[in-house]
Amino acid sequence: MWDISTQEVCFAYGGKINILNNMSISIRKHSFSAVMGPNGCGKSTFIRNILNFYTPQKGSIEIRGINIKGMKPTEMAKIVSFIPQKSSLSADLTVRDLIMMGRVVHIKNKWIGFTRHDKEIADNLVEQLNLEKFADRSALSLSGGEFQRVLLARALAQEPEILLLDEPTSSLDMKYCMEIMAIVRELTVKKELTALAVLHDLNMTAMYCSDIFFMKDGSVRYHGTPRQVYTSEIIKDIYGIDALILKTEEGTPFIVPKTHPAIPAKKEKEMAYV
Amino acid sequence: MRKRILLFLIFFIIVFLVIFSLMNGAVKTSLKDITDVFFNGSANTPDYIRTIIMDIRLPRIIMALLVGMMLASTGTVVQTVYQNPLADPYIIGISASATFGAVLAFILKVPDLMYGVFAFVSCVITSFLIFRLSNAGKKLNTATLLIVGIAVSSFLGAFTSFAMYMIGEDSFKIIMWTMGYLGGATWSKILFMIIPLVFSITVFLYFRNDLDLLMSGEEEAHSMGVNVSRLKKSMLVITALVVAFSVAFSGMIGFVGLIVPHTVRLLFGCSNKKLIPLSTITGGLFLLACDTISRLVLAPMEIPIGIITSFFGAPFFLYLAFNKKGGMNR
Repeated sequence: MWDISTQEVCFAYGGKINILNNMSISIRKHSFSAVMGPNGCGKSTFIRNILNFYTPQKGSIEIRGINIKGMKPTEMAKIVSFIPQKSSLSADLTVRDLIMMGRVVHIKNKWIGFTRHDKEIADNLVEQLNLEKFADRSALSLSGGEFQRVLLARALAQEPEILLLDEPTSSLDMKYCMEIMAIVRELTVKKELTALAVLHDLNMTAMYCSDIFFMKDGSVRYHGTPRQVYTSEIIKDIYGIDALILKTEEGTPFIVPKTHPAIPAKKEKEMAYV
Repeated sequence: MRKRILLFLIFFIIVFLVIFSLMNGAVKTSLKDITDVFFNGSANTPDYIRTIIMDIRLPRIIMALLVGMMLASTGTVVQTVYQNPLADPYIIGISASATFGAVLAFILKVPDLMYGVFAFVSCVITSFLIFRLSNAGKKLNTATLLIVGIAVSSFLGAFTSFAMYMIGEDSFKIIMWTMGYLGGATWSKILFMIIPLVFSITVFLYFRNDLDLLMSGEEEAHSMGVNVSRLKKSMLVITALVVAFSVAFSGMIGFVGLIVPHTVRLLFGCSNKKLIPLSTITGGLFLLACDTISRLVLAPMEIPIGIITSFFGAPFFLYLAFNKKGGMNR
C-alpha cells in the first residue's frame, strides 16, 4: 500500500542539532508527492536519508515494506533512482553515455559490461524524451533544461519503481519546469512509478502533484491534496507570508503573496548603506 | 575513424621508438645487429653487442614502457577518485611516501626486491591519510589538493633528505630515487613489475563502469548503485600498490600521470572503458620517449628521467591549473 514510509526519523550531521525531528511520512503507490517547506527545514536531507546516503540516528525507513537499513546500494538502485537539482558530473561524456550510466546497476557480468538490451533501453529513452538531437553531443554543452531531461532519462534507465527528485526544476525556466513536471506526472498516472520530489514552486506543485507534505523544523506539519493544504493559515504558518489563495477554472489553487515578508532588521541596516 | 588512425599511430610510434632506442646510445648498433640478435641467435654478432641489446637496452626499454603504463593508469584512476584532473600520485604526495618507504628499506638493508613492499606499506598509510585529510575523498578543490600534496611531500621529503645527508657520499641510490632512474633495469625487476601492472589494469577495467559513475559525484554514484566508499578505498589501495612498485624500482617520476590521461581525455573522451587502456598505452609511449631523450641528449651522460618529465610536466601542470577548459571540470 505504501511505497515509502518513514517512522520518526531523526537525523543530525555529525551528531549535532537534529535536522530531521521525528519525521514520519507515508507515500502512496503511484502518487506524485511533493515535500515543501522553507529553506533549511531538512527536505533535501530527508531525501538523502531515503536514498540511504545518510543513515538516520533514530527511526526507520521502509521502501515497499522493506527496511532499507543494511540494503546494498545495488539493491536500492534497482528500486529507487534519484535526480538532483544540479548534477555534479565532472566528465565530458556524451548524452548517450550518461544515460547508459543508469544501466550500470543492471549489468550482470562486469567483464562483459553492457548488453544489447541495455543499449536498446537507452535508445528508447532517447526517443521517448526527445533527446535524439543531442544524443551524441557532450552532456556538459546542454542547457539546464535539456540537461535535466537527460538526468531524467538516466534515472529512468535504472528502471526504478520509485523516483526521488531534489528540486529538479529549481534552476529551470517555466517551460522546461512544466515539461519535467508533466513527464513525471505522466509516469505516475500511467502507474509506472511513484515520485517524491522536493519542490519550491507552490503553484507548479499544485498543478502537477497529488499529495503535498509541508515540512518545518525537521518534521511534517501538514499533508493532503493541494486543495486541502493550500490555505492562508497554513501558508502563513509554514512560510510566514500572508497570501491570497485563488482558484483556476479547474479548481486548482494558486497562491499570490499579499505582502512582502518583513525584511530582517540586520538586512535593512545593510541596505541603508547601499 | 580519426580515433582508429590515432590508435594506429600510437602503436606505430611505440614500435619505432623501441627500435630507435635499441639502436642508439653510447654505442650505436645497426638494424642488422638487432635482427641478428633477435632472430638468428648470436652467431654473427659480437658478444658485447648482444649484451648491450639484450641485457641493457631491451630491459630498460621494457621498464620504461611498464613504468609509464603504471604511472598513467594510476593517474587516471586517482583523478576519477578525487574528481579533479590535477590529482596525480606525484602531486598529492603518494610518490613521496613510496620514496620514503624505499629509502627506509635501503637504510634497513633489506633485499632489493623488498623495497617495493616497504614502499607499498608507506604508500597505503599515506594514501588513506591524504584521503582523510581531503574530506574523505569528496570532490576536491584544487587548492586543498595542492596544500595536502605540498605538506605531505615536504614532510616525507624531509626524512628522505635527512637520510641522504646522513649517508653522505654513498647516497647516490637515494638521489636516484628522488630524481627517477631507469638505468637499473633488469629482467627480474621487470617480472616484479608486471604482476602489479597486470593486476591493477585488470581491476581498473573490471570497475570501469563504476568509475564512470563516480564522475557524477558521490551522491549520484551511490544512487546508481555504487558502494562509493568501498570503491574509492579499494582503488586507493591498488593505486598505492602500483605507485609503490614503480617508485621502488625506478624512483619518483613526476607528471606522467597528469599529462597522459589529460591528453587522452581530450582526444578520446572521458569514458573509462577507453580512457584506461589508452592512457596505459600512451603512458608507456610517453615514458619511453622521455627515457630515450634522457639517454641521448647529453650522451654518453644520462639525465635522470624525472628531470625530463618534470621539465615537460610542470609547465603543462600550470597550463592545466589555469585553463578552465579540459576533459574534466573542476
